[in-house]
Amino acid sequence: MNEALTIISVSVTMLSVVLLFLYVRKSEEYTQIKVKMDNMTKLGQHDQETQRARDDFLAMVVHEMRSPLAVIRGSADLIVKEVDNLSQQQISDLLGQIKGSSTHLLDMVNDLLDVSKIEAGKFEIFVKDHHLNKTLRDEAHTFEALARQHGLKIDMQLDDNISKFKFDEEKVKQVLNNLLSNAIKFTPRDGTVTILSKIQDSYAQIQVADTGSGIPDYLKAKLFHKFVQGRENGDPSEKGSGLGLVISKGIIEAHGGTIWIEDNHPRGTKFIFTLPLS
Amino acid sequence: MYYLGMQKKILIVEDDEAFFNLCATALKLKGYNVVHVADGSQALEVIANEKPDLILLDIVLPGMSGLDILQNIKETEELKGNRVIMLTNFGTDANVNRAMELGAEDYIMKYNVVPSELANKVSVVLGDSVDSAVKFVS
Repeated sequence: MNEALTIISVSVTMLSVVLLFLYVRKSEEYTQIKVKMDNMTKLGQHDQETQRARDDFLAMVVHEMRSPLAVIRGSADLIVKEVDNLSQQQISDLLGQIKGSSTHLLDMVNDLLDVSKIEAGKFEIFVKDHHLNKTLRDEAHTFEALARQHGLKIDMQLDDNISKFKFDEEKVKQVLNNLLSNAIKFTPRDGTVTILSKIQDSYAQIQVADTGSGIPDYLKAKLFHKFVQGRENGDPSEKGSGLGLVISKGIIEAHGGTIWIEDNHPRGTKFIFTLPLS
Repeated sequence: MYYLGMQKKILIVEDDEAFFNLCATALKLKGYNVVHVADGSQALEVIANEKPDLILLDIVLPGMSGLDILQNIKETEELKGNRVIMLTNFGTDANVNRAMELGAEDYIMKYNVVPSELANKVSVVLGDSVDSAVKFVS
């Protein structure tokens, strides 16, 4: 039970941090929205679209926060009121849910903080020599089980001529996590996710390609913008924060590289990014 | 706790596994039999097979939305007697009004309710958790 109390204490502390952050963040968002609304009569169609996307984003953030908060509060409430009637397994399951939901909230808050830093030009990377192909193999290994669960295979096409060069491995892994989890989420069973590396001029080029249903052209241009949700054919229950690609773009550009989307022939989508070799 | 008599059955149509577990734990503690479906497109078939006494129906679901499921229930002769409480995270007037128009008994704001309150709300609609209310406390 000590472990249980520790987890609850940690969760409550995290909850406080989340709520404080949310309060600050929402205050900023509401202020921005209010200023925008005051100028609404002057807005062109593009600004109105931005405004709508911003409103959708705020609604999404609130929704994404509410669900795990409801689970944390509800699980804690059940344990407090029914501790004598619950089995050890039920208590363990409820504590697991508190832990999982807290982690989800923390990830969300970290994403929002990253976006804030990127927008303020304060996003920092720490580069040192790494073998890119090892990083790619490690990531593929991390996602193997998830891919198998979805009935997918991960195909590796790595250029062995890429030697060590300087990049922030943790941040590049963050980009790969985002691209690979999206690729797996949006690819139907029996499909393939391909990870490719090659040298292109003075850059290493990395591709994450899937055999999903693809992304319409009008969305491709917008996907790396804040407030824009990703593919429309996804499961509504699996919608993320919509910040993953914004953060990925920030990370790659902080390295001096670029990131973009192409169609994967004959079907699917290919996310491509570059990292300077020197 | 042991129950003599037929436990009342509640079907929870909910794709958020953590929220389902929460509801299921609270309702089982009250003595209800709980069944579950996560995919909206399978809900109507499960309702027809399981014949629940009450359905807790989420609005945002993969496959088919909760409002579409509710409309199908109320337009299908064999299913229209089912009692439904909507679960919603958004609680927009349009969703709630539409659900009540379609024949939902009530709605529950997911983020606004703790499990014990949810179980109490179900008790108000369904009454005791067993048909012949004989319980033995061990």
